[in-house]
Amino acid sequence: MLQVPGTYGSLYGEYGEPDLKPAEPGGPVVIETAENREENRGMRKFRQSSEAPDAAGDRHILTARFRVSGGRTKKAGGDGAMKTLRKIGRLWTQLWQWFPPGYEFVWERNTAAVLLALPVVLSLRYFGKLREAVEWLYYVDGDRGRVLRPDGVAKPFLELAGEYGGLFVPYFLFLAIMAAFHYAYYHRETKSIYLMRRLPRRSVLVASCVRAPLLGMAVGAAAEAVLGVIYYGIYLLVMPGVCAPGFW
Amino acid sequence: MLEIKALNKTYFDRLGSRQVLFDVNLAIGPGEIVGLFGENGAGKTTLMKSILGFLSYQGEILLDNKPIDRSNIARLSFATCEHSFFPNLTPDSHGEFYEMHFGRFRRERYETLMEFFELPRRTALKGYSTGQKNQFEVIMALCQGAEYILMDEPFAGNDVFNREDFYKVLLGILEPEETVFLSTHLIEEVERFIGRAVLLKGGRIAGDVSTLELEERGSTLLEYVKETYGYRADRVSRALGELTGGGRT
Repeated sequence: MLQVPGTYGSLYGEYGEPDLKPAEPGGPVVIETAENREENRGMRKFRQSSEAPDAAGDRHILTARFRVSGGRTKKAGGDGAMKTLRKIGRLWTQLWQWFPPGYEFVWERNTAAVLLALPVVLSLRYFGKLREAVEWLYYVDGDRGRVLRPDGVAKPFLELAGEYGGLFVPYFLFLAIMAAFHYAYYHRETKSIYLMRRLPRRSVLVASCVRAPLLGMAVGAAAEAVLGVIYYGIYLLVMPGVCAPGFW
Repeated sequence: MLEIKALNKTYFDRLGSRQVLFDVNLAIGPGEIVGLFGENGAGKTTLMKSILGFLSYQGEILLDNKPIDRSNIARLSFATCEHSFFPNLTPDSHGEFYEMHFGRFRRERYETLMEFFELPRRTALKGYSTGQKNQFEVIMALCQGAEYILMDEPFAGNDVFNREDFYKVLLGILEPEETVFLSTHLIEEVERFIGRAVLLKGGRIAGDVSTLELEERGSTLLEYVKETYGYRADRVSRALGELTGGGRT
């Protein structure tokens, strides 16, 4: 009996209710439709007769990259990305571990995210500048069309993208101020500073104040570096080599 | 043994300097329950905070002949009316936090006391009443696993029955090596609970007496305090008499 994975509606109409048993881990399954029925049968015969001694029944017939999980279908190729996204989601909600105990961190996390996203978005203007700088290297000749200026020198990379680095300053400043804010937290509502100062490990108090800002700064520095590398790569890619593109 | 030798403390602020402790000498042995009494501003809290290293001072404070630092600070715990817990955390989160940082955290005692005082376990402490907050503050000081338990006005805001319960529980659960240094204004209430009374007056030790000694003298702690402070019982009636004109006749 051909196993139809947990898809819904007309797909399994003529075959009756699907058997929603999950496939073996990693094993391919088939979704049979009117269009692929013949192809599936051919494949089934092929697998059963020669290549797949372990392919008892119809479970391991591959026609599409889908995996069944608890009666729902999802793209196998997206698993890695989903896992990464889930990990990021977990980190995002479990950031409290990086803050002082009991600190209401959500507003701070969200503000930092906005302050980090802002320069990233604003830096997209770089592409407009880059386009202008590239266009400036050419002139239009009536017969030959777009021609490279013989004396044209490309604008240095930093002249085009350098100013965007400064846009990250408010983000880093915010994080530095937050470190002081975390210390002040131990004096708000109660004097939990008395507990923190009585801990046998002195580093716990300092770490609780600076850990989250340092993490944020590392993320910011990484974002800035990645953007810089991408933008510089694009710069090298689009600037005509003869115009001696430079970094500075 | 907790020893305080020639302790002087001066606060410096924009109005100038103000000395609040003058040559304080005190020794508290293991297992003692000592009450610290004095009027407002006598220096009780300053003395406690100096012992814990929260304030700088002149003089010497030793715990078993060693200065108090990170290596032995866990031998001291502190309950204060200002509260030293994290208001957004639940009691159980505090339990975990203490367990993580204080190797001798008394989990069993914590469970027993939380149950006895019927404190909600999963409510953030900011949702507690003042009395419950005080109870929790004291519970954590008792459960930290410290040998010297310092308490600064821990029952301010608790009703009398609640305080009574606490004294009884304290006497019941304290182990022989556990020492309590309790600052309070509730002189009559703690008289049966403490073994020794230290009086601070104007930043100086004005009296240091055991309750046994007072008993032998046939005096009460309140009488001793009044006597040491030079309290004049007729002060109020005289002042009222002067105000109402009765003093002139």
